[in-house]
Amino acid sequence: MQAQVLGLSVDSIPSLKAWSESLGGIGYPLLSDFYPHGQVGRMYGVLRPEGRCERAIFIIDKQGVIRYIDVHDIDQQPDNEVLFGELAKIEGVSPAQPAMPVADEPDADLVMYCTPWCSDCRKAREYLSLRHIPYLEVDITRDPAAAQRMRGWTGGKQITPTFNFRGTIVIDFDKARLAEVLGIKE
Amino acid sequence: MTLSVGQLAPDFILESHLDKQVRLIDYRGSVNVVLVFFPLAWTSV
Repeated sequence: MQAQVLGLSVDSIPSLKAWSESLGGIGYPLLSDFYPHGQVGRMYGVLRPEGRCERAIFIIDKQGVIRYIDVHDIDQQPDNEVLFGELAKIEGVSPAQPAMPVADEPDADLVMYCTPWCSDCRKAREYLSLRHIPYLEVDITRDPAAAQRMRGWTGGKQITPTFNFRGTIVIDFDKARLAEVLGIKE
Repeated sequence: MTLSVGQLAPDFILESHLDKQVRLIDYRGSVNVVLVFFPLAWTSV
């Protein structure tokens, strides 16, 4: 099975290490969503009000597209059979599956419109991830509706990255403007 | 944020218990990723 498993919880690294040891060592990375607390869990919509994550599984394909989401009751274990079945389905498809076009603006505070080859998009991802700023990326090459929306903001031109932060549009990787809009103090 | 099947998975960089930083986007172009969220260590396997 060609897949990388990543575990994630709000536990600290020492806690995860100790737990892994107690289980005889867990070979796949257990990621610590400890600081900023629950940031990734929140981004994925699985952070519970008491500050812990749901038991949830996301299968993400090689293009970075979410192909399967399962959010489970906190007391239940997700079904391995179902999981392997979904994974097999994804791995059995040889041509790259295009991402489903999203008709409306996605539900996220910060949306970044990109193309896969854009170098400024790469820089922008780095910029945002390092500052722990959650964002949703939209690939305009696979989402014509999104491409159209973007062109509406840029006056018809294809400029990536373009950002939509709660309705405020920032065109291009304009760090100064981005810092202003997002309230980043460097 | 509400995510759906078909959307790009949000990128993140986190520390792992294996003493290396893990970035989701690094796996793009090579393998499928199974991202498993769990509430707390020691609550169950």
